[in-house]
Amino acid sequence: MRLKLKKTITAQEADALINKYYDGTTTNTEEERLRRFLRQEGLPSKYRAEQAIFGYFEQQAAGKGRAVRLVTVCRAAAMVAVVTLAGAALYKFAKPDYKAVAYVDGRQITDKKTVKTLAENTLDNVLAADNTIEEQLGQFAEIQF
Amino acid sequence: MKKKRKIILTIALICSATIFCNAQNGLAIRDVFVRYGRQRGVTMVEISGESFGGYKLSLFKSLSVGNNSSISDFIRQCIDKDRRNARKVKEVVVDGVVRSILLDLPRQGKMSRLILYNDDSHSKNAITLIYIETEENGDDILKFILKEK
Amino acid sequence: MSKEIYLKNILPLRSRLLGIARGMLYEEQDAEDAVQEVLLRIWLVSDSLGKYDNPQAVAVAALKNHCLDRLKKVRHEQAMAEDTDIASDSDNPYYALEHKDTEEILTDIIDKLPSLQQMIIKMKDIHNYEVDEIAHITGTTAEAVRMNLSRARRRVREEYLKISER
Repeated sequence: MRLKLKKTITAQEADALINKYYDGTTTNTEEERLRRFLRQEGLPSKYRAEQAIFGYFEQQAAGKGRAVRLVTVCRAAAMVAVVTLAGAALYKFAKPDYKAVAYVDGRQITDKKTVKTLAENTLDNVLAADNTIEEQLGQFAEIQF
Repeated sequence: MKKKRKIILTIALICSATIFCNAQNGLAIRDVFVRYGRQRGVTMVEISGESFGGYKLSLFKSLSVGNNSSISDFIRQCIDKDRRNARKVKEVVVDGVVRSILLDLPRQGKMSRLILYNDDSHSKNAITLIYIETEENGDDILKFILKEK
Repeated sequence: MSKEIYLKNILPLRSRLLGIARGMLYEEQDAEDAVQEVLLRIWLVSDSLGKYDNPQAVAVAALKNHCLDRLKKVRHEQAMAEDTDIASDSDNPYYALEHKDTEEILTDIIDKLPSLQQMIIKMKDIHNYEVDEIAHITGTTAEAVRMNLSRARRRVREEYLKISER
């Protein structure tokens, strides 16, 4: 079966749509075309603000941080990276299915083992040392939903 | 009196900052993580796609902090908003004080969603808020968590 | 059913709501913005309207509440401007900024937009309402919606570039 690839718009067309976007005159269809253009890898840095903004809105629409559904024929194009360049964060569309991050006193921790341990400790905290609570919650577990 | 209270709640909902969340089945507790997650004295964890005790959790998000009344008040306000939509609610009250709250929220597609809140003034991490999304059965997850200790 | 209640009972209240808002806020543009914003908000919860005999009363009360909130916010912002200590979540705002990722930066920027612009940009860019739909819900023109949308989008870009270039 031959796959029909949807052609993305040219940079010139994208620039025109971006102007329309900031004028508030783009339709949803035009914005989708623009989105497809901005998802590409290796675009010039002049598009970084639009990539960040469109990516952000797409992520919000998909439900706050979960993996964004990308309809793309080419799997390689669905790679995700949050790249930090000289203090600025570039956001590219979609996120991997796996994420592990923790913040302790505002300090970021990304070591998977440490993050998982912190998560397990938190689960332990939910059950207080107090036996009364453990009993009550234990009873709750046995109640049929 | 009951009608008046309902009207007041609807007006509060209309004027609330989380209007989009409520309308779109999103959650008020999200604001807790955004607002306090990176503060000093707070531990925030976010893991997606990890398994705990053989159960795969699509999302595990937690926030723990020592005794802090402004954070716990804010969490309670958010939970009060989210509990309106909950399928099931369980509160554990000890000596007249609410110590734990469990909310089983309506499914979103295949996803079960749970909120667990614990307030234990004896513990170092007195206040704990956990949010879980999973395609596993929500009841199974709860039973696992509650027996986890 | 609920959207019908909105279009039949709430939208026709527009000029009455505008009169109330003018009385509380004085500035014509503020009153117009307040009414548009409250109408959008009521639209979003219109599923709840069916249970009330008098949804108009709910709308009027919500509008008054919203105007009061606006007035409180203005007073608070004036007080903050006089304060030399700037309250912040972190002791060091630069420390806080370093660790913010794009999502947080943009959430902050959007949350700080004027509230009607915030509503409109979210309805358009997150929830994919068309401009004409938003205009219909608020009883204004598409041009008025586009103007707010354009301002919001330009502001977001401007602020994002400012922050990310630090």
